[in-house]
Amino acid sequence: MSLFERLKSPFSRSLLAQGLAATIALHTTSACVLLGLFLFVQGRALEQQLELRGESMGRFLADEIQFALLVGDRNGMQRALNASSSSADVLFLEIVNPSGQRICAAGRADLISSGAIAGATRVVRDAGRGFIEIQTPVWSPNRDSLLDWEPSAGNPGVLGALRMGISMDQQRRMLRGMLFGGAGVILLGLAIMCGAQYWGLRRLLLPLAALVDFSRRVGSGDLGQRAPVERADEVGQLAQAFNTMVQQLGETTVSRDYIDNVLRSMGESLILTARSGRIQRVNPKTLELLGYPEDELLGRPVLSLIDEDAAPPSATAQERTYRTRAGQSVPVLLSASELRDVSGALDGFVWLAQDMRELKRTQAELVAARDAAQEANRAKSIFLANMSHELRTPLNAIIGYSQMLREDYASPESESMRADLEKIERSGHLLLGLINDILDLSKIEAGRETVTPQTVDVGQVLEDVRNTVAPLVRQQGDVLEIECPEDARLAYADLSKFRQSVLNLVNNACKFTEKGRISVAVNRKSDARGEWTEVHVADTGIGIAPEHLAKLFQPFSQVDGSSTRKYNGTGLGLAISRNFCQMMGGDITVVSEVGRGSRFSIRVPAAKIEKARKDVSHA
Amino acid sequence: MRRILLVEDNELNRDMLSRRLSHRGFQVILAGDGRQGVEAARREQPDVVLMDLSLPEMDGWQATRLLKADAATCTIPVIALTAHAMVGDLEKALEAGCDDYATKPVNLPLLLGIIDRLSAPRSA
Repeated sequence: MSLFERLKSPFSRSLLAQGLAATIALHTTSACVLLGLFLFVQGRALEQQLELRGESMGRFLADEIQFALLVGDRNGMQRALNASSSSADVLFLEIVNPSGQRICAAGRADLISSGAIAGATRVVRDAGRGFIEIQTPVWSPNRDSLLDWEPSAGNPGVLGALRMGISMDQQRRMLRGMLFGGAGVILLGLAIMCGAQYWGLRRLLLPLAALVDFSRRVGSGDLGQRAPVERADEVGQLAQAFNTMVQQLGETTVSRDYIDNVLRSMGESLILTARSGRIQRVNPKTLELLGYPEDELLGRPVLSLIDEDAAPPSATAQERTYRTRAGQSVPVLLSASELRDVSGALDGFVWLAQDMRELKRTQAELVAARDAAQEANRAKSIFLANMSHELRTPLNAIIGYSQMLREDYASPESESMRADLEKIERSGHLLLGLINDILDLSKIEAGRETVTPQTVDVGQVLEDVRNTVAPLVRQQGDVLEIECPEDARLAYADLSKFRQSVLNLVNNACKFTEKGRISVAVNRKSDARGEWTEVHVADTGIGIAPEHLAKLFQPFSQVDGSSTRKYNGTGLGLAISRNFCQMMGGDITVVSEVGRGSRFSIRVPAAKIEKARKDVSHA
Repeated sequence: MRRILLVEDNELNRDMLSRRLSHRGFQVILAGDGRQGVEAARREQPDVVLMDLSLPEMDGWQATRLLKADAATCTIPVIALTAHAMVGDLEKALEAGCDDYATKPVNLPLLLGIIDRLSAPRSA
């Protein structure tokens, strides 16, 4: 740093110093110029005054010595000179003849210059030696004024000359006095002006300095400060504006802190890049995920974090792979969105990635668990299928042989044996039904049951059902009425499952109704979801209590334990039937009143009329 | 006398069903697996075949397909005997060429009705 700069730097930092320096320079320069001008003019005036005085003194003295010179009275001339040289500022006096030779002198003769005399008054200023020399010619008197006069030889007019030296000391003293006085006045004025300037500048600059200090503190993060507003002028307004700014800054800074906290607390990795794709900011989770120190990530192309040959990620989250610093692959759910500023211009990209390692582990475990469960379920289904086959084979024999024996022993004597055989047969059927129900249910639960819908003639199904339940209807002393109008005959359902469901409902109605009426009615109905075929099975039986209705369709829920013994059955039929109907897109519902009877309704999709006709005609 | 070929691997069921059918006036020919069933059908030319589906050596579907593919036996009605319908069993049986089916345990009057219906044209 040069000396100039070193000197300059404190000035450049302080307006006060600059102001004062400017004031001093300006004031001093102008005052000095003025003083110089004044002294110059004054000096000239004094000089002229001195010259005039010298000239008049010279003329006076020349007159005085005229006669003495005319007559050659040396003593008279000396006397006149001595009298005049007593004046303080007269340095010397000399009288010369026309040829310039001294006649007589007084004072400091050493200062006198020699030379020819002139015909007129001559003033020679000799500033170097500090005096003015005045030479005044002494003329001979006018001839007419003399009574008897003989002209002398030589210059007819000039008798000689008077030379006189007048000191300039006094004039110089006066000028010096003026100089000192003027300088004093200047210094005093300078002091007063500096003082005033200092006070004024201070008044202006002190609050500014305070604001400077204040903004330094704000800059270092202390946003709780407020600048003092003591005045209403521009400085006060500045402070006020400053406070407003700091307050707003505080508000935005709070939101910045908030965003920082959000970034810090995020469980996902967040990377912000510039338009070029170079990383500008990352959150702590990113560092943790990738194993990089922050300074190694900043400025790096974000694409270097994923596989080189992979396409850049899109705004839609996709499963991608991040490469860590150690070279490991981390599965992440990654989305890359464009970061746009307020005006909508592209400002960079936001990469948001969720660590999927834990999810993957869980997923793998779930898959394994699911596979194991599926395996177990498959094993269960196979077991059940085999088991039901194994159970049914001996049952077939039991039922078949008891039937055969009953057929063989038809004579009246064997009546009691036939009754026993019938008990064996009935128990066999019951057991068979149970096995079949459990098999159905297990297939439904295993999701192995499928429906193959086709156009179904509901009237035909109801006739089949009537035949099947005829023995039971007879046994219970019931009346079974079936009403199937022609326009509701065709449903679109899985034939065997639909038949099984209807049979189950009619069978139940008969079982729980003694000497009553079971009426089956069919209708077609349409709603927002489509066209439906409904089969209503109403009985005049024992009915179902409201508290039991809810559990009715749950497996093994014949309304109470005793009913199982009284009415036979597994309690699985309704659960199976309802599952079947739901698989076909329909349902089974029930309304019932204890002692008055029940009404079950099956609903399955109706066949499209056109399609149904075609199917039927092909069949 | 109408002749029925009963293809059934379970000895008890075979014995029971054959005796009940004999009592109703049928001559019953027995076979214990699918292969024997096909051979017996070719040899004996029965009026009806009662075909159990799950059989050793050759299952009932395969045996039915063979019978229906052979000109010598393709006109013999085949009635499948199925357990409580397993998924697809019945459809597979009809696909293989069975003319009708009856579920086990056999409801004899129902089965006799089917037999009458299927074998009537032949006896006529």
